[in-house]
Order: sequence, then structure tokens, then C-alpha cells
Amino acid sequence: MAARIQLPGRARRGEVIRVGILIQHPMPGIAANPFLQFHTVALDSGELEFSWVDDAGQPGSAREAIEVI
Amino acid sequence: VRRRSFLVVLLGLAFGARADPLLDPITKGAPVRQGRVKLDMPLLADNGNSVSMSVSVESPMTEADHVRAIHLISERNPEARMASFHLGPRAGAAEITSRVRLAGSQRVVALAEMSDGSFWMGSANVVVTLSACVDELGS
Repeated sequence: MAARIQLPGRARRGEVIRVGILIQHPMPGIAANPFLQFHTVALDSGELEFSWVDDAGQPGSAREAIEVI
Repeated sequence: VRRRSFLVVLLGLAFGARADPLLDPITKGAPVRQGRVKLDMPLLADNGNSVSMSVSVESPMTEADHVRAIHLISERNPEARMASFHLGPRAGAAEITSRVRLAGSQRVVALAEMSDGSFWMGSANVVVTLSACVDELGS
């Protein structure tokens, strides 16, 4: 299950950033190739970890770095 | 086709009054108010297998006042509870964008559960020309 993550490479501390993830998957519950976009507050530089479980119980994960200034 | 769309309109009208069977498992019978929730979906979707969906809830998203969860409910899909998004003050904004499958034209409801325990809803009507999950419709 490959995934593509959309994340600003750099953000200001306290900024609300938009996070997007597209997972390649034939047909889980919500739609094929599920795409989710949500928000989070940038607090510290580091990696955002994404983990998911498909409808067959198969887990997947991805990471993406962000620099907080 | 004309008859079916008429039926869908009737279902849509009746939904407000008969919403309880779909919402009750989440609200446990608590009152649901209209407003604060904006659900954006296309009026017309060519393909029910992937319909864009964007939901936003008016909320300061602070520790004291935030959105706990947003539930997406379908009146026609085999699985009525399409998705539940769990949020908190750490999210900063109560906005989710995704894509969903729709088994036919219908009204989709977004139900927001607030940190004070109140429930708010918004909805969108979508006409689907090619339905998803056709084999499970049984009609």
C-alpha cells in the first residue's frame, strides 16, 4: 500500500497546516484509493507518522518530515 | 427513472423527521441541531465510486471548545455510517476533505459531535448518474 503525503515542508510554530494523504488501495470502505485531507497545528520540527489498517486487517504506514520555525 | 428521482425527493423530505434510526446509534437520542456544519459535495456526480466531499465545522478548536468527531452518514449505502473522523484541539481546524462511494442519488448527512456533548448537522444532496455498489442495492 503505497502512499503519497502532502505536507508543507516548512511551517511557523503554531500555524495550522493542511495535511493530505493518498493511499493506493483497490477498494476499502470509504472509496478506492482513499484520499484524506485534514489539519494539524505545527508545534515542532520532526516527522509526522501516518498509520492505517485496511478492511482485511492489513496495516500500512508512512512518514513525512516537517521543519517548524 | 423519473419515478425513482421522485422517490428520492420523498425520501429526502422524510429524512429530517425520520433521521433517528440513522443518527441514534451515534447521538444516543440527544437532540441534533441544524447549523455550524457545512458539507460540500457536487450536486451531480457522474460516478458514485468516487465523489468528492468536504466538510467544515465552525469551532474555535480550543481545549475548552472543539469538535470531537465528524460522522458521515448515508441514507442509501449498504453501510450507513460511511466514515467517522475523530478530532481534537490539536487539529487546529475542523475541516476534512475526502472522497466517498455513493450507492445512488441521496442526501448525505455530516454530524458533528462537540466537546460540550452537543450535536450539529449539515447535509448535501447528490444526484449520482452511475452508482457504486450496484449489486448490493437489491432493487
